[in-house]
Amino acid sequence: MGKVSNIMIEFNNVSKRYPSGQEALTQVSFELDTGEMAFLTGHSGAGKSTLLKLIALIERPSQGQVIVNQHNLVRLTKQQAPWLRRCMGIIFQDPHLLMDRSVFDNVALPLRIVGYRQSEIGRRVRAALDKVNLLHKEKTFPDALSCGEQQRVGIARAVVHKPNILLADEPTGNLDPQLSSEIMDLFEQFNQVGVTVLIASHDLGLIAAKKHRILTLQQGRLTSWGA
Amino acid sequence: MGRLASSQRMSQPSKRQYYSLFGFLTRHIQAAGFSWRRLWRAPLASLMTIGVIGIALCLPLVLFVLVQNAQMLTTNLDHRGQVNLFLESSLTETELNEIFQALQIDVAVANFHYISPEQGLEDLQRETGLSDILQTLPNNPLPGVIEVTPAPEVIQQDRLQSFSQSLQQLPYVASAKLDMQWLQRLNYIVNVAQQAVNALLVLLSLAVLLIVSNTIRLATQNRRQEIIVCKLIGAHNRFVRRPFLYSGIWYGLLGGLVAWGFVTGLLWWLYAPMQRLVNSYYLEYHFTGLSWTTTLLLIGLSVGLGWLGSLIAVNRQIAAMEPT
Ligand SMILES: Nc1ncnc2c1ncn2[C@@H]1O[C@H](COP(=O)(O)OP(=O)(O)OP(=O)(O)O)[C@@H](O)[C@H]1O
Ligand SMILES: [Mg+2]
Repeated sequence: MGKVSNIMIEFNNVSKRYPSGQEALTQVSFELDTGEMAFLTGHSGAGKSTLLKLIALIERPSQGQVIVNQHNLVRLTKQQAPWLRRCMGIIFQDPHLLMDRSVFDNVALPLRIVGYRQSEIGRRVRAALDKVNLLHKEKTFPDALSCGEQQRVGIARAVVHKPNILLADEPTGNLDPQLSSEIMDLFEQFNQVGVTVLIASHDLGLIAAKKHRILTLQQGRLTSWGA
Repeated sequence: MGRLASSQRMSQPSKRQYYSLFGFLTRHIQAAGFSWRRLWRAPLASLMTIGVIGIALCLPLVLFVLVQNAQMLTTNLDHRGQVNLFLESSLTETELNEIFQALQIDVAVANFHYISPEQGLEDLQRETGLSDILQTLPNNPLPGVIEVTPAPEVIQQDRLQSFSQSLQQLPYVASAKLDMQWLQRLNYIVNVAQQAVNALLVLLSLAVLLIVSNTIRLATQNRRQEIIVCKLIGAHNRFVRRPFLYSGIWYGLLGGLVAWGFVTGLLWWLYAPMQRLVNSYYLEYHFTGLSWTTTLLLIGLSVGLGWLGSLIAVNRQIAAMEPT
């Protein structure tokens, strides 16, 4: 066996050109240690979402290597992508909840996919909902929730299976400052128990208040990778 | 190198869980129950699909049962195939023996049975209950009759006609009457009907396949968002596709049960008139309805078609729906 690596996410000269010809990322290299928390920032169109999609294997790099949890993603086939995604939690600006299922069933989905038994599902889902302060809403359907509550359900779903990595793309996009800061606190809590967290956001005020690394993208190039 | 080895390491715990029997059963029961509940979210649409499947399968099935009965009826009649020789009146014992001997040496004759005019009259009285009228007749009007059963080859080789003509040539035989023509025709008709039923079954099975396939294809398109979300949080294609396959199975099962209900009802309704039809030919025959085997085959077929139909629809659709 090789050395035990401390790096969770590694980009080596990664470029991404979309089929349309648009170059979204150019020669991006950085490393993120296990248990680290970092922000990804930059103007609209700078390539933040593209970078996160490469980590989640939603898109593939045109050049360079992406290594996540010691898997070289270039070598992972489409059929292996689900195994990789099970070690991460992904949070979007729009939480992508399933409207025809209760909050409980939405959060339970990652566990059902893996095939947990019912009692275990109940225990874990309630723990996750408790974390985001929505335990009392487990039977509600998503369309009866406020924006912030929906976002928190999305977060509960992303962490219910105890992922190693948490990726968030504009998680506070259209929330008020009070709620945004609460959600950031939540991410810090997950980080404190060892989860590697990478958050894309252009809310510079919010980011600056936290003492974490900031990766800055400018037109697809990484211009600063923090302290 | 550590990276390759560890790529196995990561997936193993979840894989073990995935392939355990308990996890397997749990996932299937969850998917089956989930699709069952979803079926009744839009009860009208589901019932319509189920009804169409039921009706499509009902048609060949009713015909199948009727043809099956016709077949049994004709095989019941087959061994009664015979030629009746009506003899000239008032033959002597020696003249009769002459005929018997001719029949005995004929290899085309399997066996024969002589009914004297007296015996014939007695039978007629017993079978028709016309004894009063018959007794008023001054003398016995019936000729002697010999019932000749041909050798099996004669029937198999379709030589009944010439066989009957050769018997006609025997001395003292007034006429030879072939009792088989209508039976043979019936046999041909039954064969044609059977082929038609088979063809119909294939065609309508295809129709069921298309119906289920189309229903499930629409369902996957309606649930596109859900399919993509599931893939995004680590679902394999087989997890995403499982509830759709169970929907197909439920459609098939319920459609098969509906077909069974239709057919049972229809046969119950047809039973009395058909029995009357058969009785009018003085035949001893009791209609058989759907056997257990046929019922099980029907349900199996229809579940299979439902499963296959949804598999066809779902595989390409789901592979094409990837998160972006
Ligand atoms: N599927 C796609 N096909 C073609 N071009 C794309 C695609 N997705 C993104 N792009 C382009 O790639 C560039 C980077 O897009 P990306 O979504 O990564 O930006 P972003 O930093 O997330 O922006 P925002 O802050 O607005 O979300 C943009 O110029 C965009 O037009
Ligand atoms: Mg974006």
